[in-house]
Amino acid sequence: MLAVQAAAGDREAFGALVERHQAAVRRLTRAVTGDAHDADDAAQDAFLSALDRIETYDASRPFGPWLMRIATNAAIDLVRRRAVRRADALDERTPSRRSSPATDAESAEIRARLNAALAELPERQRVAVTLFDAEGYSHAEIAAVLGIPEGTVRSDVFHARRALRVALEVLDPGQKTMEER
Amino acid sequence: MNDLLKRLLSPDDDGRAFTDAVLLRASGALHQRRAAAEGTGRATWTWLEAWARPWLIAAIVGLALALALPVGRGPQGPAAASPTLAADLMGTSAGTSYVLAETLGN
Repeated sequence: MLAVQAAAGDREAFGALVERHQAAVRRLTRAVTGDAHDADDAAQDAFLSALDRIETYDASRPFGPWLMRIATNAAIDLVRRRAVRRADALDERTPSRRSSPATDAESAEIRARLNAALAELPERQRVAVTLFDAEGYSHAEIAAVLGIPEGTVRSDVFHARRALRVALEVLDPGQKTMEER
Repeated sequence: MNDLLKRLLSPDDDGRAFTDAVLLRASGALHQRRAAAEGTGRATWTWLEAWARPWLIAAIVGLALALALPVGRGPQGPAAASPTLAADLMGTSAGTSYVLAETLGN
């Protein structure tokens, strides 16, 4: 068990944990902070915080949701500290991200609008829709991560998806881009 | 939409630099955890050694005493308890002395 080995100070085990979960954690912190650099800072804080309190992890349960809860809190804390909560910040910073074949294929305007719409959402809705749509978590799992009722998660995901859909439909009113799960 | 959101949020790198950065920041904490784990191990052995040492010494002393003092042999030994056997042994010893004297004399 990597978590047990990491708790004993095993560098390789902790590195393997980070490598395995870094993409999901960075996506979540990216959704919360709205900025790639802030997201990485928050994600690093999350992994360090996880190491600091790894004795509280119940090894009989999945590691991912436990880590995501820490990551959510780390990202929200960072946002609070830096007080960066502007929708237009995303539009300014997005072009600075390195391009890839996948991202090049996307419409820059769609990305910008999606970013802006995401930034407009309350933090909890951003986390909920990211975990649900990008990470494939269930409503129950998200409820456990956020420590809120499952019904609240359903409501958050519904409202977040509707807001994002509206943002995309502004570009193409006939486009059906989101399917309710 | 799910893919779009995932691509939008995904980092553009393979994560190696990120992992290295986290490990660098965590190196102090990992070192402390290793030291604590090793310290706990040493403490366990120290306690075990302190507990086991008197028992080990007692066992060695007991074994040595058991080998040095054969059971059943004391001041009243088997030879002394049996005058006939003692006489036989003496007789054999005298015969052996006679044979030796004769051999040397020749």
